Amino acid sequence: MLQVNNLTYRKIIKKISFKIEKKSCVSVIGKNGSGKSTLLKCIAGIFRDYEGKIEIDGKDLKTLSMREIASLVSYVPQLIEKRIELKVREFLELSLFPYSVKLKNEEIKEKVVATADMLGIEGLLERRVCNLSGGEVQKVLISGAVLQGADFILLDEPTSHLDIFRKKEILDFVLNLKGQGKTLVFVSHNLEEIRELSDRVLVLSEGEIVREIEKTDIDILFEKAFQEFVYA
Amino acid sequence: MRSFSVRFVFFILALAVFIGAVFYFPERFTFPLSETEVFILKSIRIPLFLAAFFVGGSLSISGLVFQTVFDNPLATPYTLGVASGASLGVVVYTVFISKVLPVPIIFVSLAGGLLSVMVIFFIAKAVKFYSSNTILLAGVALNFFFGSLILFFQYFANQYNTFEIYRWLLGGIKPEKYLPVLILAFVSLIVLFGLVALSKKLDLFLLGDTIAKTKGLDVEKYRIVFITVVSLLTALCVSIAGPIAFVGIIVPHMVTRIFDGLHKSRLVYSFLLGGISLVVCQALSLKILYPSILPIGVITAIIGTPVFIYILILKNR
Repeated sequence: MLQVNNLTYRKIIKKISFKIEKKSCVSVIGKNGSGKSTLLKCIAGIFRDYEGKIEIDGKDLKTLSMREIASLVSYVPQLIEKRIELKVREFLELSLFPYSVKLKNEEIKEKVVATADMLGIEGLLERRVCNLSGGEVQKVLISGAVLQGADFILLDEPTSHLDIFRKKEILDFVLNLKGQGKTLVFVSHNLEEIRELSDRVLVLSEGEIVREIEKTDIDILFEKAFQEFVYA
Repeated sequence: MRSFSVRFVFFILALAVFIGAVFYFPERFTFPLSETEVFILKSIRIPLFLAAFFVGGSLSISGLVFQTVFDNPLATPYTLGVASGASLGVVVYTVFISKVLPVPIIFVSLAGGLLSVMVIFFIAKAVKFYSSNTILLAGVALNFFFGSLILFFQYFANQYNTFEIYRWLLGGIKPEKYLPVLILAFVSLIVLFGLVALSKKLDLFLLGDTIAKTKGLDVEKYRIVFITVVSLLTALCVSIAGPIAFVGIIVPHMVTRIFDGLHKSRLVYSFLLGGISLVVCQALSLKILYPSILPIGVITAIIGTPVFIYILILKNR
């Protein structure tokens, strides 16, 4: 279980508390600048100077090393911040860094090929990340997150800069993960996407959770909240 | 297996270049060697070319690490002001201390290099930001500041000291003693093996800070570790050879372009290619104005500048 208590980060996130059960999919929605990505980055251990407590399976993130956090939670960024000239195979091998002490080189290679086969990106393995299309990059990033072996996968607007065909591909890709029992926390602005994936929706406004919508109420309350807090 | 064979061939090539330089430069030795030639070989040529090889190798792996952890292709072992700090140490020693308290130059140079690293981390701590840009900009500022201080102290030096400082700043390897060369060889090999052991961490820097963190790398901590280690190695090189430009920036670029593979390979190839490059430059510096010796720093700058501009053009195409 992921438990966030009184999380405060600078003036962006203000005393947020919530729980996420394993094997569920929770979407986080809100206007630009409402703190969605910052929330995900705190949970992923990218920002560590927050106040409050984040626990995964009862372990306080602040007491864990980056390697330990990476084995519990993986994060897929909205965009990659630099040109990655590595081959996809090399990128995926590095995704196993949290376990690199325990695994032999052959085991790492086998795991990479098996995951690439499972997620249908085996054809990309020898291509360089910087030469891939936006949709392919997202698939590789998500595959890397899966390889990390963490139960919690955080996805920061994975389809925001893709055309509708690629969006559908990535959505199927994410649904596949959900089917495998991964716990997903998903930031998105796309109404249909959120409706299809989410068991619960957290609505964020100015750094605070202003509404929580359960699956049973999604159809009734969701559009209202979307109009009120996302498009307002 | 293939990469092991390539590394082995490369190692043999480096050895061949080294032996060739030792026996052919500045003048060819013929067999059987006379007693004088054996003496020259033992006490001048071997320590001279050994020093060139290890300085070149060390500066190259330092450059590779700097370019990786700063994510900046123009970062060099001298970017953080480490070389100018080490040079400042030598200048202050030459002008003020040498006559009162004679100590090996290696200590004052290391102290100067260490001072640079400490000042940079102090600045980064003061602004509470250990990002690559903060450290890089602090280093550039410090580089200028130390450069100005060197000029300041040089202005007060007497004629003899001014000339000595000037020659030292041009960069040049003096084959006086084996001990500093052996210390450099030992330290550079330890650093090389240490970096190879930590090569996966260096690889993760290639993904950018955010992704590297999510894959489990403590980016800020390891950036400091890597910078400190290679800065000290650079200061050690400066104490032996003065500030030698361009090897640390060009060789890592060549290695990245020529050879496949990540840091495990890149480090080994950079070390060998950097070593070979400086041995060749050293041989040229002995030959061009023979019987005079041209400072090796002049040769590396003359060859390095056009190669550097070529890399810039190639990268922006």
